[in-house]
Amino acid sequence: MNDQKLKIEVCVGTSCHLMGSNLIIEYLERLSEKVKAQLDIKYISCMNNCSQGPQVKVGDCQLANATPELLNDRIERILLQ
Amino acid sequence: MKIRVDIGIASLSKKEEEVCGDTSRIIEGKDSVTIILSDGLGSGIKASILSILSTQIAAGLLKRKLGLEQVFATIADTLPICKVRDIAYSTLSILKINYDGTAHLIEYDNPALILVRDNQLLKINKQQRMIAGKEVFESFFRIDVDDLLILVSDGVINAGVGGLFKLGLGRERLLENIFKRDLNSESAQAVTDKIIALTDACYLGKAGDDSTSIAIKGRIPRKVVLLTGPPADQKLDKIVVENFTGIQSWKKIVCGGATGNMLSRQTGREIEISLEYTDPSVPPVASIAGIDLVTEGILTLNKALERLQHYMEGNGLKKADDGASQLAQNLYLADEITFLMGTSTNPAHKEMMESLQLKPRPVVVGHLVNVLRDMGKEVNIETY
Ligand code: FES
Repeated sequence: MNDQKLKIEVCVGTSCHLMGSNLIIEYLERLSEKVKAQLDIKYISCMNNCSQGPQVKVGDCQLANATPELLNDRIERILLQ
Repeated sequence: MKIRVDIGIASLSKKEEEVCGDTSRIIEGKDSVTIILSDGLGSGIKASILSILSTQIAAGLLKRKLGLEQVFATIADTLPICKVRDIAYSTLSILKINYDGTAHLIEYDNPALILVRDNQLLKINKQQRMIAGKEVFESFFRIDVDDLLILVSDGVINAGVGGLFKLGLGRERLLENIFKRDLNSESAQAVTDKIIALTDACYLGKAGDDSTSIAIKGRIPRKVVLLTGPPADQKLDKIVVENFTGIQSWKKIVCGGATGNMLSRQTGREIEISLEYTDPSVPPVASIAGIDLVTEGILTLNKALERLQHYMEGNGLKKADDGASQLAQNLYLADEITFLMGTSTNPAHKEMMESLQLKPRPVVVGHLVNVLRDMGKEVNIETY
């Protein structure tokens, strides 16, 4: 089941946190249960790209300087495919 | 053997008196803790002032590292004598417990200390002697882990006098109650609360005298080892991690993402970050098997320092689930703390921390060490 879900990894390390990863998390938490059920969300402590946080991985693609809007775009695009 | 104690205090004021004439005080030193119980003659404000005076003098002298005998003599000399009854205005018990397990007790006119070990009353050898013209009982003894010591003012012993019991609750009945309810196995605060509840019940809710109970329980010192920051030289990773996991401790704490990853790499144990973001200003905690608390590094350390400083300014220590509160709580409960601090730095952090005026690792750890030492804890730091 998990294999079909879209994998989202959010870096919550020091730099990414300061750059706003909590906004990303807030955004993810506010998603509807229906969307959430299609996601496999995980937090990571550092993705080794600290100077361009927040780092978020959607599927295999790693986003730098992520914002809720950017992430929303990505998720929508993939889930609607 | 090294020992520490938990202390619980409770008291009851004589019916219709606003203040309790008994005073208790705990004075923590570097290698010892001293507990004082004083009962001012009579009750109400006069008794209260006198017993506060006695304990205040004692606290001041102990801070100047005077021995118990001298402390007692000074207080005894300054205590006024009641002209009508020709007795001193205040009674006194001073118990000093050294962290090596030895104890020294001087009792003047207070009910005798109760020492319970393995649910049995232990006899303490006492010597009667004169100090500063006062007849006192002095004793030297040892305290073990799980020992229960109880100091009460005579309001407890006399509870119910002339009412429920002709001669009051009495020491024997109090002891019987302690054993019957197996108080030896309870926490210091629970023991003392139960003794005061019993006292109140004997007085049928109308206390005839101020009553105080102090329960003291021996325990092993709580040792915390905190690993934060990978070493500057990566070759040392293995040694540092082995050192950390090898130390016998009450709690093991890891602060730092890269530090957690290093530990996970070295031990092969997985690191999993909690999905609970209880406080948006503190990054979430993680878990690694065998480690009691895993948090983010710099922000959490800075926040935990803030919480402890806030506590030292006389405020309470907030209990919460976020990483910083959990860290502060664990450090607060610890008796001995060892910091294993790596000195490697993350260049991406540096810039950001400067702009946000956050303290870098060695600075925040330095401040933590100072605050914890001010709290009377034994703190060591090893850097790599
Ligand atoms: S803290 Fe997010 S990549 Fe390092």
